[in-house]
Amino acid sequence: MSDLSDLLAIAAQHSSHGLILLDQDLKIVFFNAWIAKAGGLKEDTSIGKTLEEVFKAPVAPRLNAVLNNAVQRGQSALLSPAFTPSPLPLAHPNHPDLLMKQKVSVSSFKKGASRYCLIDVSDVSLAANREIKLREQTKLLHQTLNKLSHILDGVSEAVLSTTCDDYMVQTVNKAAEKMFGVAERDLVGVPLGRLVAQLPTHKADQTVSFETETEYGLGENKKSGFLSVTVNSQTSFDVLTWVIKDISALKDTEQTLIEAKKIAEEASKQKSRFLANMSHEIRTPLNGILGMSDLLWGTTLDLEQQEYTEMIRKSGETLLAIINDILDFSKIESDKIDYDIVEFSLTDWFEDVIGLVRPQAHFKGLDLGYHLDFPRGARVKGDPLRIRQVLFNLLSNAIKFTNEGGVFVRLRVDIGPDERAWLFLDVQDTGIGIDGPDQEQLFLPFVQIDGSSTRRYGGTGLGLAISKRLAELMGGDLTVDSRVGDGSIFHFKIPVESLQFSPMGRPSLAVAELRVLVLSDHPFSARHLEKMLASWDVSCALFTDLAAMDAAGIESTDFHLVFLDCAAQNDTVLIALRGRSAFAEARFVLLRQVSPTQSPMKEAKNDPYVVSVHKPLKSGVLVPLLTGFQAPEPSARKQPTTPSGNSNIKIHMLVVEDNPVNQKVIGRMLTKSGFHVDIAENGEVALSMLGEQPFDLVLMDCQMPVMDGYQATAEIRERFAAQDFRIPIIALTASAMAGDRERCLRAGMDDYLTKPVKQDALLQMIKKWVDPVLQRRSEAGA
Amino acid sequence: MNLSETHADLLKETFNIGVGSAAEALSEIAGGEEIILTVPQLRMMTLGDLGRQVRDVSGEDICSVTETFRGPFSGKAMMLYSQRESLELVRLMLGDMIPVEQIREMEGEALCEVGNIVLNACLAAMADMIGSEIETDIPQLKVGHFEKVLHQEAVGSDEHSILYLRMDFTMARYQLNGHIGFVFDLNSMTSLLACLENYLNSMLEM
Repeated sequence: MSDLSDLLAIAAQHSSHGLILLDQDLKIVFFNAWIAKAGGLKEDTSIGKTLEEVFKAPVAPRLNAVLNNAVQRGQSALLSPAFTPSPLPLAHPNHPDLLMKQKVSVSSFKKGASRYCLIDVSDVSLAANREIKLREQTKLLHQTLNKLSHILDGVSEAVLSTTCDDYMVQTVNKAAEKMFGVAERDLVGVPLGRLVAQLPTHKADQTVSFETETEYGLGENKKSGFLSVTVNSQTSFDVLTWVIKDISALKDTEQTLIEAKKIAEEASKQKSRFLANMSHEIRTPLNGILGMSDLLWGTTLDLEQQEYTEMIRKSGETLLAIINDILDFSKIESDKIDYDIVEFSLTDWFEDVIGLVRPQAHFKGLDLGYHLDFPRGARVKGDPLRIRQVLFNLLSNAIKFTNEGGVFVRLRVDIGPDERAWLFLDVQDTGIGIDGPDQEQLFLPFVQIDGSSTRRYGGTGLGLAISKRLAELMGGDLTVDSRVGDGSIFHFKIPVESLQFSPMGRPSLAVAELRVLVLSDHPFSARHLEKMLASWDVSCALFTDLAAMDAAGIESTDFHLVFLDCAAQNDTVLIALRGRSAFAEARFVLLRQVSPTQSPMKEAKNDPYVVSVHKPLKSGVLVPLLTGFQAPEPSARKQPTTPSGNSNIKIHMLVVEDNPVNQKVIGRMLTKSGFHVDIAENGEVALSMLGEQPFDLVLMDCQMPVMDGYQATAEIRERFAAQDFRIPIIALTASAMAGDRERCLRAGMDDYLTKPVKQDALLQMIKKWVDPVLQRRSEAGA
Repeated sequence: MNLSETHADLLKETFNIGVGSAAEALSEIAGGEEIILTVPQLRMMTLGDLGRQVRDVSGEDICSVTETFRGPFSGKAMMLYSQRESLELVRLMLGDMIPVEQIREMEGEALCEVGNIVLNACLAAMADMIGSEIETDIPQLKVGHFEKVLHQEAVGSDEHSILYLRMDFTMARYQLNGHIGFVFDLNSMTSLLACLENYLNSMLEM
């Protein structure tokens, strides 16, 4: 018996619960190791004491009541942690600051006459924590599931899961119910193959996508449409996920777009073809104009005729440039324009442009003046053609919209705030002007300010738009200041790459001492003259007319040089002044408009003291006037350079060209340089001529009736392939469209010239191909 | 076996004292909320009657808290509530003492404690009346279909008599209907009646 009692005592020490045995007076009889550890109790100091004595803290009142009941009435009880979380003051196993959560039961029993009670304590702190965690995770899982099903029900695609072998539907979303026209309960358990006529086969661990036109739906709800079906398989899940969508509407839209794109591309191609044709149609007569003016230049011409001829040529070139720019308009719009950055002299460049518009201005009786506000001889780097295009446009517009008064240009080079050199061009007119709101419209393509002005002033409305875009593409800007009735000033500025001042020799004459009188009734012309003289450090006395000069009382001054700009009064003023003693030694410069109606003055013809010049006075003309008072020499006539001197006579050329004017122009250019030339009017004629006699070179037009240049070249290459001498064929083409060069070379031609053909370029090209021929011939002869 | 009207009145009086002290104890652990327990009905019945009575009042799914007792008469004491009402009872008593998410895992033990308090109080009142001790064991919780739960409590049902009490639990605005049953075998029943007779006699002698 004692053995068993010892054994039980040891067993009680090993219990996973806390055990405390109390006697009838609630004094401790026994406690096990669990309690010793949890409550820090020591056996020698604890036995025979009450709970409150050993724990040094009160126990829960509920536990006290239960213990009293147990020893007095023999009743057993249970304490739930819900009502009494910590009956005994024991510490939490992990958090010493907190109390352990306990489940306590109190059992009452009797041994002999004595009553005892056993307190059984178990720690539920961790269990409670685990429960809470599990609960939180379950809640999260529920939320996630809810979210997922919400998403699934929200998507527009039908989403279904099926078994892997027979594709039996397991779950569906709202879109699937809608798509197949039946409720979820009628879809679950149905093989997917019954819902959709054509299905892809799934592949393990892959996503298979599939588009097909098929029937789908159940029973009465059968539809047909273009379906996109995606099936996903993952070996870790024993289910397939299907995403199905009816994309019929998308397919329709796609088809419409493809057709629309086709039409648009076709239209674009047609436009390109039209442009190419137009280009050819315009270039052919232009070729005639330029060629003929070149030939005319070579004949004996007086000064005036030379000037007019030059004007024809320059106008033609400008027209050519305009055609090029219209062709380039699409390029400008897509910012794909090319630049040719070269160094050029600002003065020469500017006066060239002025020369082009001068006849226009003078024809309308407009005064045209300018002020070159930069060091003499300034050279800049930029694209002179593109800048000229803008300036020419601004000048043409100014003249077009001005009926009285004139146009004044100020050209200035300055260092901008960005420390780069900038070119500033202000074009001022006294025209109709534009109001504020309309100024914004001004730079839009195809817009003219007022419908009526389209008829009154003509034009495409493209000019300012191109100019503005060009200015911006070159890094500059184009703006306008204007008020209706007050005329307009267009400000154009662009950065130029570098700024150089070539040391241009000053005239040896001490021009500063020169006394100069200007009589001008045109404010712009007067300003022009004044500024130009100032640039040579020459000051002048400036009056509007004779009366104003007399009123100023400068009768006694001796003048060396007198500029007269009094239009019809020039003659009378000249006669009046020459009668006065102060003007005995004076030389007179009569400024006159270039106008076919104005005949040169008879009296001035042979008078060494009087010279006539065109308005506006060019700086190149001013220098000799200041220094030696000689009439400006006509510009040196350039003789066309002949490629190889007399040897040209031995060169036999074939020109294949259908247009009679071009036949004549090119023929004349070549015969004048000493070549022996034959003409063929189309490819077929050329072929038969080449078969009859040997030629050294062929100039081949590309677009011709009967047989065009490409075909003719191909035939020549094929027919004469066996000959030792491969005859050079140079293409002459009016179509300047991209890709033409490649087409010519592919057809078997050797080189390429764009119409209108210029004499210099033509001769240079011929020299390039003829020189080797001549050399071989001389070697063979030697 | 039936109770005389006198016996029934005596027991009813005794149990009202018992549930009165139980209500006080419950109110204490519920944080001072007023709880009223009443015993409006008391009678003897068979196990089959009890089953019908419980089903009629509480439905088929029930919870029971059971404890054995020993003394001049022995048997099992049980408190029965429908599952829904037992849950409600615990929640009412716990109020906002502990977070809702912790109630579920504790509600079984809590219900057990409530039943223990009520049954102990009833048995203590009876013990006081007869001037003897009635020992109790630790209570046990059973949850399930009423037939299964009741079957576990009584072996050889015909030999057992059941002293049945309707017990209504009122807290705040809520009233919950429950049952208390004391299961006696034939000997214990005889002892109970003898004890009641003795008590009445002693009262009359005074």
